[in-house]
Amino acid sequence: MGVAEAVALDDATLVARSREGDVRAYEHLVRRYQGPMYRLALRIVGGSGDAEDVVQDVFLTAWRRLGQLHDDGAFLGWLYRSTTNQCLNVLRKRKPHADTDLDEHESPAPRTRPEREVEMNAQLDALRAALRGLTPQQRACWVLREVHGRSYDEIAEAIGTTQQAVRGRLARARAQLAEAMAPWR
Amino acid sequence: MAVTSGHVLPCGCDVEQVWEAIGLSGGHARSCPHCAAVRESLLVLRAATAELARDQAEPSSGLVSRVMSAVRAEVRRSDVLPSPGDGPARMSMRAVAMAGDVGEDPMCVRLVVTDVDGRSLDHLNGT
Repeated sequence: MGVAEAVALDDATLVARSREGDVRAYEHLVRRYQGPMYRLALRIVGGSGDAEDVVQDVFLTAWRRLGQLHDDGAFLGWLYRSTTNQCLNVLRKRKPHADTDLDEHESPAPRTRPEREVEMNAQLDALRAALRGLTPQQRACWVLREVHGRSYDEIAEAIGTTQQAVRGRLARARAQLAEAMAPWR
Repeated sequence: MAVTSGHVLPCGCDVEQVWEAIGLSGGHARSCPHCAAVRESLLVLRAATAELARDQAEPSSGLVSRVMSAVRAEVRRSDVLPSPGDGPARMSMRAVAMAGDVGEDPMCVRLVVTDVDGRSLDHLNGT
């Protein structure tokens, strides 16, 4: 299977081929989704090293469990659930105050940025700092919904709770984040 | 049941109500100073969220290699399979992994099935 052919294939086909032992097909799935899963993990756990570890574990576990996936087209939703769960596990194991070396906002500032861009970067830093002040579950709900556009149903399944509980956590997260952004209004 | 944030403003509105009304051009959320202030904060949050979503941070270039090395190591592990009447058999998946490495069609590789002592079980082997 050439690269062009694989790029054109949908998830269900690549998953079916992977399940038959086609490692190349699986590699294309990894290439297709490593970016979104890495960014999701980065936004939830905060550190790039932990985020990469999460992604590696998720794709290896997914490979082992391909036989349990009943709907080949549901692979992406499965990845979102698995990545969210793995992130929450990492955060559970992390010691208090261990997030002092979070490096998500590593964007070196060029000297000649327009004023508006400087302000937006400062707002982004403020948002990232405020996100760290949420509980892990609130943060996961908010990131999945507001940044990755996942449905309430998917988020409820990923977190292992009800849609109503997801809506409640989102509302509390939004209120806390809005308060943190108040100095910028 | 209405969803609330637990953050009730002096006017009695909840922050979530202000969020739900953020697209409306009039109404209480625009005229009330408490709601108007929260609305401004929510607009800043919305803009910063959009910027965060645009941030396409990429993992290090070696991540795919690390994932696939781990996957191929799994594939190379031999799996013990039940064998008809001859006791357990062991199927080597190494050929599949190697074919994947060189870009050949992995559906056309030779399966090597042996018993647990490594003796070939020719009647189970195939291409």
